[in-house]
Amino acid sequence: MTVLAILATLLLSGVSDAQAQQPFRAKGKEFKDVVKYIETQFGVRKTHIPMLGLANFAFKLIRPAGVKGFKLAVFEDADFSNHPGNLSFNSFMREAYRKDWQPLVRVNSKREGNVQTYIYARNAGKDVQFAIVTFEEREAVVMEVKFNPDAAARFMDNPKIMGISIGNSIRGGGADIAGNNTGRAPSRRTPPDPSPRSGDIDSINVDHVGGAGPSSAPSARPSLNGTTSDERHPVLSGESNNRSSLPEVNADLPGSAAANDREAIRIETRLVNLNVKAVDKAGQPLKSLRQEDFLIYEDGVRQEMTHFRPVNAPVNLILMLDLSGSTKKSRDRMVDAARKFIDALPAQDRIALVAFTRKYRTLADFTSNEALLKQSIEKIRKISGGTAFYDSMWEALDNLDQISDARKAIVVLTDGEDESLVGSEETNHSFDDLLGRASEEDVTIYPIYFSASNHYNKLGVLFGGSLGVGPDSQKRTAREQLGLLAEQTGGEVISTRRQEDLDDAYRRVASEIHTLYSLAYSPDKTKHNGEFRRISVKLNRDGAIARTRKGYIDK
Amino acid sequence: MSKMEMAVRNIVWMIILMVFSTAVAQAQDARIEISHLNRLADKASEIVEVELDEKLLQLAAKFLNTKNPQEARVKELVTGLKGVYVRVFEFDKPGEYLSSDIDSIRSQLRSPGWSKIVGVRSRKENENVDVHIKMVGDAVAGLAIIAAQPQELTFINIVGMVDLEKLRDLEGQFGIPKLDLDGMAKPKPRND
Repeated sequence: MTVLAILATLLLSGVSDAQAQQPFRAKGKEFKDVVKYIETQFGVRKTHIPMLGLANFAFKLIRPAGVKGFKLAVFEDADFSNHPGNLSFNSFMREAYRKDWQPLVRVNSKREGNVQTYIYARNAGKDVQFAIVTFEEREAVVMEVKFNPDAAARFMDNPKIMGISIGNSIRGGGADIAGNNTGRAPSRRTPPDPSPRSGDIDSINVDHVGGAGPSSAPSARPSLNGTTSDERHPVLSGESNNRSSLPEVNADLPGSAAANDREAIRIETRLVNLNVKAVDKAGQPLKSLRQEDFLIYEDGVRQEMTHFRPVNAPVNLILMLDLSGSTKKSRDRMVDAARKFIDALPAQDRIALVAFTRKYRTLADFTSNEALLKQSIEKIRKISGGTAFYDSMWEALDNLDQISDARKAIVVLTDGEDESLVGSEETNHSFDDLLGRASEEDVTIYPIYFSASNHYNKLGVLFGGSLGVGPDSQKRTAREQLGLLAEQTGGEVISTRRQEDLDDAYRRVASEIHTLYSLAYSPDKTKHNGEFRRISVKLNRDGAIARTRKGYIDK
Repeated sequence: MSKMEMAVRNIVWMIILMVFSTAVAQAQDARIEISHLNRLADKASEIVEVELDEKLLQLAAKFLNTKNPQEARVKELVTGLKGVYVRVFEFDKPGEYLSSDIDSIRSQLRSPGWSKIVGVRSRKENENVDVHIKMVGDAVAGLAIIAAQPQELTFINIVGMVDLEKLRDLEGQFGIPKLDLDGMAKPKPRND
């Protein structure tokens, strides 16, 4: 945590990508030895950053967060993935940091391009000194930091530099460690009431011409997603049944507001749409079930299914790509993997391509045109920015609300780290808002958790992000949130850390999407009292299990 | 106070000090020698090594917020610890580590004071997990976990006074992987 606090302080001071050598430890030459080793072995020079001397002076004078001095050397644009023998470098580090230093952490990931992190520490009187060396594919960082732990602890409680407060206590902020951490983000405005959703309630106002009775009610019926269905949207084309079970007809009563328009007959019904995955005892998807194989229960009471669509029915899908800065190095792989994903989906599926940073960009609207989609993917190479994950997901749900078909999914490639998690940006919609809405929609969400490693999150290996701050804590919160979104919508999180695994991740999602059946029913009791209605789906096959969303709010 | 009372009092203090120093020494004994595992480093595709001694644990504890319930629990737990040592090796293919690598650790865990409290053998997952604790009187003075899969070897050694009921709070902290410690009960000390 200390290291993270110091790193944060360095970053706040604008010296994150800098090199400096401050003579706080005249005898120590470990830092110089390591820098020289890297320069010699890789033929690379330290990156020079202007104004660093001034920053050093400021640190020495002000000692923010108890930091008494630091040395930092950054090496960029060299191939560090293939350095001469991991063991030899490990041995070199142990030799260089031999006297008084203690090895704390070593992380080496050959799978991620030979990423390596070394952390050493030593006591220096009342102070503590940390040495951190990291290698990534194209970047190496060598850093030594000396600080007073008591002063650092005080800084975390009351972050002040030169008597000027820079915020609330760093400790414990941003996350409720005690559990239930959903990373609630501050909302700039009251979120819109997430219900009723078009996917759940179907309201059809039918003009009653010439005083004809109910017998002249339209033959229109609700579409599977509950929006008005008419000849232009014959989405169910004969798969529906049980017309008698559909509408409950409420003629307007005298004295009611609606009764002012006595020419109208209001037909209201709620359709609850479900995307359901069925698996056998061994967990293998069951793809050839029929309507009669499913039993739907709401609050334990059997419901009558009104609509059924098999697993091979087309899906409307938004492929969302998180183009925050952390994914910049992986763009080529992202493009390639997304192309393969499009190939892997059946030709009749309709796909929209969306890129998001702080902005939500529709690169291609819903289409089955593969060539157009693949061409549109190329646009992501030029986009980079922050991460408004919650707002972007909200907008994607808005987009899907416009689709009159019920088979809808979002596949989102992201690290899930909304900027509100670090408090750098506010969001229009908090995670709780998003989760509440997603759990009521008929959209299945498949997050592909893609978190490229870097030297900062490697530090989390030591501190576990347990203190509620720091990159690792955010990552954990983000990962948990993605899990909740998937769980509540009947989807699944697929995690991948390496670019090379993206193809597999997409392939799995493409396969998963077409293991879903789409069902709908019209509840036998609609009280609109805001209570939660628990849904369960059972299969009349031994040992088979059906997975779908947990329920909906009856509003 | 009479000379006799002074003498008795001094003797009592000496006994207390001896008992305490013995307990500390035995806690230190709970550290397992694992330097032989270093040879696996060049074969492994993923390596995590963590070595936190008492000073560094106490340093880390300074940054735990006692107002946060979980951090307070972790701080309380860390206060009694003398060290946390973790090795995680992941391999691209099975057979990269030898049973003798684990046997060397197990032989140390057969020494007096150590007891195996959990042993899981999963043929389906081909995974073996052993949890050992070292008892000093009624207190747990150390813990060791070996988790061996064909392509992964994990060893965790926690040295110091460990409250098993609070141990879950250390999961995911200080490089310790998530452990399924449900149902782990404090056993009676073994008389060996």
